[in-house]
Amino acid sequence: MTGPFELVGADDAPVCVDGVCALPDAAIGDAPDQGLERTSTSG
Amino acid sequence: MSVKVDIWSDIACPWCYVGKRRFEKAVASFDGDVEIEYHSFELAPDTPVDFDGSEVDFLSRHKGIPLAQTEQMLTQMTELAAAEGLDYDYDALQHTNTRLAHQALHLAKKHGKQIELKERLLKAYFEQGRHVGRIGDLADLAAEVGLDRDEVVRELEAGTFADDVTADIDQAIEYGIGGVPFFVIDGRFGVSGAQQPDVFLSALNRAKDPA
Repeated sequence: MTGPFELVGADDAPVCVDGVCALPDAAIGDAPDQGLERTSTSG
Repeated sequence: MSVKVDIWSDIACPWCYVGKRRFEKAVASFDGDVEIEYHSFELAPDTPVDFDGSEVDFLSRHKGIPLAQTEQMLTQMTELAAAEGLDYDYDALQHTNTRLAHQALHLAKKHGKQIELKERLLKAYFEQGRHVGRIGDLADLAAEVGLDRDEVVRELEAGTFADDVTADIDQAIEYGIGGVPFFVIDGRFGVSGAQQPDVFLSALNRAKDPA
């Protein structure tokens, strides 16, 4: 649980963590053979 | 009575800009007033102000992501941002430390210009290849939204708002916020990430109701 509040929305919404930004699964679903992981870019 | 929304985000955060647009869509269709306050969050505090290299260099050298994968990811992020009307230009982007930018945002808040400067900094960083890590560049951008350039230079050189940045980050840690963007709506609802507008709208509508 994060913080003193109720979390709402999708659990897998894209966020940036430690300078690395996740792409949603739908965005990388077309390229599974290229070794893409669910972590990617920063700003 | 307005709904207060506290947003933790960074400048060097592609999902923060996308999330900002999605949140703005929700606010546009929300039947009520919204008060927004941005809070500081540093995704890569160890980044040098004058990073020597491209965004691809940063990701491949510092994050260990293979070069080809990095390039493809940036292309995909650019396409995703375009769907929100944003024109990311990773070739021009100048990776930098955002600590001073956050201090500038606190100064802007003092003058009621925080939202304007937040948008200006994100646009400068992602779309225009402007540097957002140096005092002179930040002062130029702040002046564009109506802040006094000399005051910005003076306050950033003095570090007047450094403690405010630290306090925001400490608050995020206390809340357990590990990634951004993160929205706290009316102090009751937490929304993590660049959610779709309907998620924000639903939370805003719930926040309108008595606790």
